[in-house]
Amino acid sequence: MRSTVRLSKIRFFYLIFLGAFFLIIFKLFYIQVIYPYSTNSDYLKTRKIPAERGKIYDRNDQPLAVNQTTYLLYAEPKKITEKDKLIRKVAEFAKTDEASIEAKLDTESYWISLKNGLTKDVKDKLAGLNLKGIGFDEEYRRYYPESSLSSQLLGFVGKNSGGDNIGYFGVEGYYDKDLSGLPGLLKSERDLSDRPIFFGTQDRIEPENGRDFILTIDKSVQQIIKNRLQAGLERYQATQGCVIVADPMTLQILGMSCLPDFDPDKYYLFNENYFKNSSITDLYEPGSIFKPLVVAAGIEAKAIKPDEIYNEEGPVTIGEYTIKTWNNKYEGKISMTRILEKSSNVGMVYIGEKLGDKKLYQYINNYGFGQLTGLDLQGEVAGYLRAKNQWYPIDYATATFGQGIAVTPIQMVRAFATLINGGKLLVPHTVLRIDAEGREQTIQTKLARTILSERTSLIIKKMLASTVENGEVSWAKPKGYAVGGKTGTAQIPIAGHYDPSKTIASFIGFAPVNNPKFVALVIIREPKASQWGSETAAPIFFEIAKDLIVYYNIAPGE
Amino acid sequence: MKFIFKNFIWIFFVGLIIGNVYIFLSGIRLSNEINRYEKEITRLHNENTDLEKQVFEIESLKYTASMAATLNFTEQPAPMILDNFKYALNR
Repeated sequence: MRSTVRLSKIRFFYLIFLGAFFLIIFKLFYIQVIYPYSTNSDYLKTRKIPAERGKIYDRNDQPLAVNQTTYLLYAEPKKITEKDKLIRKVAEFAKTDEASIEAKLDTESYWISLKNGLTKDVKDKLAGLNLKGIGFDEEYRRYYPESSLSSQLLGFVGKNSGGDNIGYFGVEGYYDKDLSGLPGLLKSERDLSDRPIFFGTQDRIEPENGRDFILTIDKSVQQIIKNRLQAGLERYQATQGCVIVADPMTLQILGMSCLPDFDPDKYYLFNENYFKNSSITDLYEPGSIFKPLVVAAGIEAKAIKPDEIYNEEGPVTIGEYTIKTWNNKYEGKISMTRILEKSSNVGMVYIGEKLGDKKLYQYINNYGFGQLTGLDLQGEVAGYLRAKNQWYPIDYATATFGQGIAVTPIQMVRAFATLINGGKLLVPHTVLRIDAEGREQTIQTKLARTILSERTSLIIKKMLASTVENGEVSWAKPKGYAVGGKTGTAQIPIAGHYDPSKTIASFIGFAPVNNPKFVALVIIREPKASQWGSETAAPIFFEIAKDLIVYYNIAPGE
Repeated sequence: MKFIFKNFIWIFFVGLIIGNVYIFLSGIRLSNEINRYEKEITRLHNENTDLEKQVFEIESLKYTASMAATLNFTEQPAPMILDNFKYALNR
């Protein structure tokens, strides 16, 4: 009897345990097979840890592009209890319209991004409302303390098609991978209060933050050139303008500004035409600022001597074309230096003939025209140099005074720097150092090739100084300082012919002549006050030169 | 002997339960601490970023230019010596 009762008890417990086991097996089947999403999302959370984008500084470690924390507002529609109130409040605080919020709230979705870029104040206000079904994710956003000061040079950070941050244009675009870094990963089992479950899975791969970039750009130089260019464009009623300032000995870019530009913090308000940096993307005919390059080539090839005399009698005929001086005045016997001083086109044709077609083409090629300069900014174009067999006699003649050839402003600065740095064709660059979490990498100047000798460089520098001193126009030069340079006025080709009313005025110069600290190119497009580079671009150059002389504390007579 | 063995089993199981509860509570306490430090690190980082932004704003040329304009410091920005060299030499 006693053993029968005992057996019944055992069976009873056996059935209870069996039932419990079945319940557990069913629950496991339910949470692993039938409805796996909710359980996983409740406990095991896998989250990408964003890497902080590298900062960009100028050469004096002043910030040009840094990061700020903003918040992404998201919704979990299945958890929303007061939909109307949520739509109303989000629209009110996030400064968006109710219709677009409502359209996004798909009740079938588990997670929806509602608005990004919220400030801490807005996030705190929304969080204070304790609305169920919304949350916030932190994200980094680019912030440019100087707004548009270097916008085209820096570029901006936007979104790609996947919604991730990506750099566009300029330094942000060129060095995007280095600046972005690598995101980390957090795999963590969490309880309902988002506390880590201590005995659960806790894997964390730390993100590798982006590298910091220290540019060769000087914020003060950038400010000087932008202010002067802006005032110049207004004064001469020009449509567009660019200034590049570089160290001719290293070809470090000290300043680069084109107007009109854009605000990189609010890039989405601007047309994409404002984003491109005309200094590296626009091709133009350089005009007379090209002449010193040909004169230097002539001296280097021993085709001409600086004191050689040329008889400037009148226009020159090449085939069916007639080439005149800019003012159609001819001085008779003049030296090579005088050809540069008065910017004589016919004199340049003479130098071109002495140099010879083959060597002229070779030097144009050696100066780097038609090739990428290697500048570390996104969007540079190489332009093109026609194949030698496509050049006619008139092309060789016009090329000597910078017509019929298309160059970018940065190519022009690079080639001109060879005249004053001892003949070295260098690779221009905008990055001075890269800092990767304590490890610094300094960018060295790269020599592409040597084109001219020191002797030729010394001669052409003196000729360019004389061009500024004895040119056709007397400028407001900084007194006590020797400045070298050359003006240029190029007509704009439209539908196969030149429009005489529309010009690109330019001036390229350097100072001080004996020990150049900077080379600067000023280009302004379609000035209405005067079409000549000597009356528009040159005054802007001398204003900039005066400011730079003061800024660099250059002593008179150097 | 049987009595000792029976009690040992009980004491062992009670000890296990107490140990388990202690470890469980310690786990919760440590989880709370991890959570607190995670939040604190994030808060400090954000505060640091905000302060950095304020410093950069005040140090910017944009701010300096606006202050200069407000204080009327812009009337004679170019030094006289470059246009009138005698000022520099007349010492």
